[in-house]
Amino acid sequence: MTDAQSRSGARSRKDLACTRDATAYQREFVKTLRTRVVDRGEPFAIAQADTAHEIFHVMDIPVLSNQWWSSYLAAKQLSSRYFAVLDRAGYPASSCRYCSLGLACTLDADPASAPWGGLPRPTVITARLTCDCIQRVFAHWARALGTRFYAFEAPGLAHKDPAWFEHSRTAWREVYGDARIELHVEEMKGLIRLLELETGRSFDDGKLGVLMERINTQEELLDEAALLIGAARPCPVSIADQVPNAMIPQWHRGSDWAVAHARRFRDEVKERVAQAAGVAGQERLRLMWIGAGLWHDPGFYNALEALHGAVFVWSMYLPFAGPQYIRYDLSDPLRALASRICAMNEVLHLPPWMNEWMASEARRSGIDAAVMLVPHSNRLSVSGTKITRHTLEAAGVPVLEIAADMVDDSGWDHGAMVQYVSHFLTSRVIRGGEQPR
Amino acid sequence: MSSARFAFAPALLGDRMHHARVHKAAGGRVVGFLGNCVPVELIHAAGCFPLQLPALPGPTPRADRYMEELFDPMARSVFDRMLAGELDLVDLVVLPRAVDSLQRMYYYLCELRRTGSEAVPEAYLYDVLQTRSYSSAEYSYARTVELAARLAALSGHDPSDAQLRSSIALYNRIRSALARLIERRRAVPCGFPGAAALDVFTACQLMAPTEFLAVLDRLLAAPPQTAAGTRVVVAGSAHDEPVLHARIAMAGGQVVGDHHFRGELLLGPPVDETLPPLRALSTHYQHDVVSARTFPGSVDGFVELVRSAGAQGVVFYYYAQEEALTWDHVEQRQALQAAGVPWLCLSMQPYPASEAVDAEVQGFLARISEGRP
Repeated sequence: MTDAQSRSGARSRKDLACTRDATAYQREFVKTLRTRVVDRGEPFAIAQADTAHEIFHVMDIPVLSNQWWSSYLAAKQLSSRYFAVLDRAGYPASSCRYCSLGLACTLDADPASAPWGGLPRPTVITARLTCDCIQRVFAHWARALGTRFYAFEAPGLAHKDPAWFEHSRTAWREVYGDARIELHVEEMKGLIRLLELETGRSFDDGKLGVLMERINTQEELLDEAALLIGAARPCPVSIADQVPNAMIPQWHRGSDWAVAHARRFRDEVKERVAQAAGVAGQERLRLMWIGAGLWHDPGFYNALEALHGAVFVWSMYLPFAGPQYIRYDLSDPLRALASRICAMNEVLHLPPWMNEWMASEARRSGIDAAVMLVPHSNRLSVSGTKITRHTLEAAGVPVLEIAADMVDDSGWDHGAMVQYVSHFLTSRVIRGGEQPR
Repeated sequence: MSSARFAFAPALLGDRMHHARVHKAAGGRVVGFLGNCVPVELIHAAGCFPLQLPALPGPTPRADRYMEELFDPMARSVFDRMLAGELDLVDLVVLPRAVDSLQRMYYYLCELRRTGSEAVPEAYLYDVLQTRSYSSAEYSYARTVELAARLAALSGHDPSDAQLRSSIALYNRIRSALARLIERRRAVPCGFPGAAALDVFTACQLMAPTEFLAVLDRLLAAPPQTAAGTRVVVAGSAHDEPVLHARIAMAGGQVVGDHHFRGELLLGPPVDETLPPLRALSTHYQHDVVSARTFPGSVDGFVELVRSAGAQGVVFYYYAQEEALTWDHVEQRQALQAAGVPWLCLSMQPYPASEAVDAEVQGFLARISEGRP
């Protein structure tokens, strides 16, 4: 590895055949999406990941996730360029940058360097107001794109069920609260009305019910895969394979391809478990990755396998499928959908939901240590991390925090970070030369 | 030290919780809160003492154990003081959903109590929304009714409609007295120094409302206190101590307007006294008070404040933890440019301001004086 390669990100190793298929499908999908929205000028939407994409799917309106677009721009090595655009525009340095890469790309207004030549005008852009920045970033972006911003509120959640993940599939009304679900339903109806007026396409509750059933099937398969991976020794599939096989179907949830792919993934996992196929030659440490994916250096996840037999066996994306996506009792599908969406922020970033779920998942998956991504430029993403650290450490899981950003690779040094984690494992996890297993 | 400090002693000169302690010692309940989106009228009507929880600049080692870096520094300080047991006189802490740092702090406090990790006061989330839609209004109204019930349970006093109206009217008199103060401050020449004005805003929520109003009325009955200096509006992050104001005055400026949540945005416009009281309060805090989450936002209020203050310049001051208001900066700056008002942006700053800003502030004021902004 050259010095430059040592500092920058590395590709991850993929062990599953279905991973290649998932990424190939996504590539094709992106081409189709581009054709639909850029070449054909079809109406489309830009939406935060924690919004109800199901509405757009039911109405056959292409939807582009802001988080996916950000990771796409980051993967094209455009983060630094676009952050510089925001600096030149005069936004002070402390401005949260997590969700703003897309805005910066639009403000840059340079079709020659922007993927797809930049995004055309969407029918609507939408987000939940989960932090104080997002309404501003999206309002600016809507203005720059010449479109409208449809905002969903993010009310508080006074009822706190620490074991939410055990109850959310069936008792979702109690877990997430009627008032909050009702509010989200009203807001979704507002979005549906807007889309019907703007696009001439219609929404059908029956279609949503069918989609929700199919999503349940898909998420059950992903949930089964997560349970298999957590229980198997050695770990059959590292998070480098888990994340694309969970996330790519999640962008297309409920589609024929997504359900079939989830089944194929589950089957491959099952097969590897039956063969006792492991990620590392000799698995000695099982690690948990807490936080968003390290999109600019996915190879980081494999880097500790040879050094310590340390395998990243857990990342939130796959195990989240069961408790946060499956919804039984679909007699009122819009309400069930609202319950899926309306507390994404709390369960992933706030106590008692985040820490209790992570502690439970660490127990389930036999975790020896956790590595936590702490992007210091974003309150939403860092919140809950310290209390989660306390909870995990009280449960006997040492935690290492990594101060880094998920999309901004400036200051990231792959080699140094591998050494940093290696030192943590040596000093805090592998005691006196004795390894946990 | 500002003249207002003496007028509002001991709240501003000694123990910031003095008045709350007196209320508590007499058998009353103290309800702590933070920010500008908690209905103080409701707390007062329930017979409780509404106390804007005072921060204390300095290290926050206890808070640092649980709270990540990007929290509002005043919230962090208050959280630290709670963990240290310094705010134990508080019977209930009401935190609004309307500010991200504060709603997250609510969950942290609840978790520390649930797990028994720390002895902290009970926290309550006032789940007020600030998008201006009918569904948000109805949601916020239901939460306002719930807050009223919680306060009544705490104090054992369920205020009548008349008592609620009387509390609203009392706070509207405070708003009106503060408006007179603002007017005096904006006069040419400035008739109320900037540091003293910020002290008045701070004292407003450390004292019982009747007591505060009596002192403020006396202060306003005295002749204006002319204050010289280049006329400056401070905008951006909130200030509860006039440290920046003093530094600007030392450099030859005079703060004639505070466009932040602990300054002129503290209480918002008068609450509508013609509406049923709970409806009026809900509408006020959902719709009329400007917070970090007000949506859609507008630059108009800022521009109007700058214009009516006759500002010769604007100092934007952002804490290092300020990740949201900075997104308003470009639009505000463009509005200033159109109005021909120069500005200085101080970002990534500490709480409170330090001498590190002096050179930039001096240079900025010098450029204004020399007519070369």
